[in-house]
Amino acid sequence: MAQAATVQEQHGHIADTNTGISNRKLLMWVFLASDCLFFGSFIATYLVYRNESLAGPYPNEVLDIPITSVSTFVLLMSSLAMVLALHYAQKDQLGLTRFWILAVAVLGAIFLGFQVFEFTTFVNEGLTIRSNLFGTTFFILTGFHGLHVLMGVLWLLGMAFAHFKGALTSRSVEDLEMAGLYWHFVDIVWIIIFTVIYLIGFSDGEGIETIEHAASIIGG
Amino acid sequence: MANPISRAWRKLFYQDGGSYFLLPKVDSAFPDPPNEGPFGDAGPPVWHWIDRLTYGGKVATPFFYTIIGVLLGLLTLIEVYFFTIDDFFGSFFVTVMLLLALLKFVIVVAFFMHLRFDKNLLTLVFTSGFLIAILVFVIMLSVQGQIAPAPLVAP
Repeated sequence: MAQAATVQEQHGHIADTNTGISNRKLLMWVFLASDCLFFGSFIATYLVYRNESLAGPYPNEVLDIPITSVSTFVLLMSSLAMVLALHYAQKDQLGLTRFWILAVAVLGAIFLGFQVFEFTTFVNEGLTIRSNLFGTTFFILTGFHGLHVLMGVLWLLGMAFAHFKGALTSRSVEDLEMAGLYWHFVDIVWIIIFTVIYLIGFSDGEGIETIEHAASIIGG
Repeated sequence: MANPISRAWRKLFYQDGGSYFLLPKVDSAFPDPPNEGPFGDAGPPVWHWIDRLTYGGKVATPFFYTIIGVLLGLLTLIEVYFFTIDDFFGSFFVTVMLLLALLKFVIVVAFFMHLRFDKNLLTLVFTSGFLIAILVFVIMLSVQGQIAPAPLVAP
């Protein structure tokens, strides 16, 4: 215990635990590790059914890379804002902390706006969750990611509101660190989704189920 | 003399013996002056540059985080540019894109999530989950024939 009490974490917190890490922080990392499996399963499912759709619209007909690139950039910058919010919270600069927390929430909301726009466009072009395998796997994967972003935005808005009410204490710094870890995780999941679905999967087209079907595509 | 695998294992996962993760366990063990970094002389030169900016990972500055943010933005631009010239890479396109995504992933986890400056236990916890996810991923794709597709056969 004496050793644990002397262990100081990098960001100024003294955790009186056997690991020297606060239990909440350790648990958050365990949760994030388990969330890797959650999203890993959806991404694997998307790849399993890649090029298997027998009816359109196909990825190369609906995906809009320029718009998604901008929304990706917005999410990356929200991660930068998040780490700055935590930095200023650790420095007890409450004004800057509030500013950057709100910046993260706004950038997250902008990302969600891009996603709503994208989903609406897809539906207008005939791609729904029931259209084909691409639609089903795409909407489930990106929809659950969007839900994670929405949860993060609500979490951060709640924290910002609490800060405005003067509820910021030394314990809040750890609260903000937890929110930050969650937010960065949402960011890294999108990094994978953007590459796998949008950049690599853009050229995906019609699926080939049987030789007869292949022949019908070649012949016609 | 340890074999190369043992040495690499020690460098990656031990907090002594000149490992890449040579983090002090007590406050008094932090180097003085602090900008010498917690990683000592071990590790590639880029770590020394990072240590100078972050005062040994103890006080990462907004400037440092901004550099990381700009780097992530540039990597995204490079990804999109490579996407427009995918024919140039041919069959290596997927590999190149996945490596770029992995680089961005590691940068965010290491610096924005502070795993590079935190205790090894957290790295092990997260890496375990990530590796199990990758394992499930590979098994699932293998079972479905996505990695080595079966030839088309008439039903």
